[in-house]
Amino acid sequence: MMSLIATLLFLLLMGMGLPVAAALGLSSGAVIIWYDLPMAVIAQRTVNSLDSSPLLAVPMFIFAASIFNTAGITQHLFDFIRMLIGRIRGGLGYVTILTHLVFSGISGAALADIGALGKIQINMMRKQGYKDEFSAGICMAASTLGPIFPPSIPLVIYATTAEISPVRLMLAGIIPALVIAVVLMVQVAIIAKRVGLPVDTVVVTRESFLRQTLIALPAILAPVILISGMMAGIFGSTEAAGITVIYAILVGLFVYRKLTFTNFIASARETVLACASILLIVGVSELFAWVLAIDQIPMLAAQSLIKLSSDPTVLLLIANVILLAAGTILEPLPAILLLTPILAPGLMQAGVDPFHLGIVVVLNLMIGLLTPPVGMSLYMVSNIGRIPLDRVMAGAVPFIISLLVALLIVTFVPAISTWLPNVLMK
Amino acid sequence: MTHPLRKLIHWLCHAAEWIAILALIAATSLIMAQILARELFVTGVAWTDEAARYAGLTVIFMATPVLLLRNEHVKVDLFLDMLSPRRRRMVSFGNDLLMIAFAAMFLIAGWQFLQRAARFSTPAIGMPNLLFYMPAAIGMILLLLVAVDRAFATLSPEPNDKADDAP
Repeated sequence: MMSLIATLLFLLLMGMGLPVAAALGLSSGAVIIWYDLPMAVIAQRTVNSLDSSPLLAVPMFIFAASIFNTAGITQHLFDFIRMLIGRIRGGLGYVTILTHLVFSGISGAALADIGALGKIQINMMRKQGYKDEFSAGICMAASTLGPIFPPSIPLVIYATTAEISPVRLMLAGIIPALVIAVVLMVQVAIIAKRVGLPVDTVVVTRESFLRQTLIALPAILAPVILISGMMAGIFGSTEAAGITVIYAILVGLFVYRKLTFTNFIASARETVLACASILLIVGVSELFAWVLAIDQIPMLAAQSLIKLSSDPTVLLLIANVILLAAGTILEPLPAILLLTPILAPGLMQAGVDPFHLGIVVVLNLMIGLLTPPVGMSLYMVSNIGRIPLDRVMAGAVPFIISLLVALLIVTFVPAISTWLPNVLMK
Repeated sequence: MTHPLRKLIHWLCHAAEWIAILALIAATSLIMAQILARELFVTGVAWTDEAARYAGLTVIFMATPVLLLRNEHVKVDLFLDMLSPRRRRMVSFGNDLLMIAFAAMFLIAGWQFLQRAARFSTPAIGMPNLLFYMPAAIGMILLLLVAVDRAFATLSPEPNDKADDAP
């Protein structure tokens, strides 16, 4: 009963437009006060959940991406990949997917990736005669790669909530991200053939090829350093994030030479605000999870799931339906924080690998970013691309179908997520 | 003319934002120091992890009031945007009051928690808990002030709204 009241109150307050952190805090706090539970828990659990080493990776990854962005890396990456594969039919569609894939090795959030790359991609596609619906759709769909490929803020937060290794979980995301990229590329190929997408006009000479490659190399090396360091066990996720920040500063200062004191501080300012908006929700949701635990909701949910079926695949399909539905009304972060303690115990009891589950949960919720009413990618693309929302929504539909295909592949074949971390981290 | 109290709140938020920026730089430096100590000097420095976590807490709680001041907290304003300007203002005022309640609840809970916890220190640095939880307390006091200021600002009439509400 206590959990039901807290959940309904949370949805009401969130619907009223109250900041999500305050809605979570007030709904949990009201129940704690009403049921005469110790009020000190409100401050204790919120602050203590944020006093965490793995969570420190979140500001570091945001900071690194922001510095890289300031240094102009996004344009260099786009130009480089365009030069490599742009000249085939529908080339800019593939370029969009691959730019997101490489940039996701630096950044770790879908919306940040759209913010950094979306404008360049949509403007170029518009200039070459692509329909806005296609440009918006491919940009949003490709942005789901960011939170699956390491580094990933949602995966770090999932790992902290589920109490599993963030490094192992991020390694588990590499092959699923490649699967998503391939599925999206197949779709671009089909659309290119069916409607005759344009061929890029980019001219490549030997000199321009060498120049673009040299310029883009430091950007491409960033994810290589990060992933190989984590794979080799040299550093953990937070340390990897710290090293990426230092690498970004060095590249910005000495390679691209665009990092000044002023834009370094601007990046830091952007980071502290982004980080506070994400992590305050994480802290307060720990309180909400505590209310659920007092009511024994995780245990009851686990029992109910096991009663429905003991087959891990069937349970994962049920979880997919719940998560996709939740993704339409909740932002990914609160959804991870609220649903992980409810779904994970039952699924793991049925034999689902915790790292496979982490990838499935995050992928489901990233698809939610493309669906109304709370599909933030829709609003962001509409805003930065100056495309009416109805056309953005129409453009999202075919790509949601491809993402669902990718989700089913990742759900039905656990080895896609578990093989790499099992091989690398015995 | 801006009220002196509003000016003071803005100045305090500006200072908090700078503290958050410095804390972010400190956290990055501490993590790097940790890696260098381990990889180059083959020694573990226990206090760097605790200090980095403290810097992380400072980043979050010092930036929280700035987010409210700039209206940049994560929220769903889809339904709010559907309302007429007059109704939207009423709901916004309600949200400001709820934000005040959130900050006040957190501060009362924090005070109750510190009644017992203030007697202890952190394990690695030996920092008194009162100091460790200070960024959270300061951040929430500032959040409370910003929310009160926003509530007053929402109440003060704007000439355009009447025209918007006209049938």
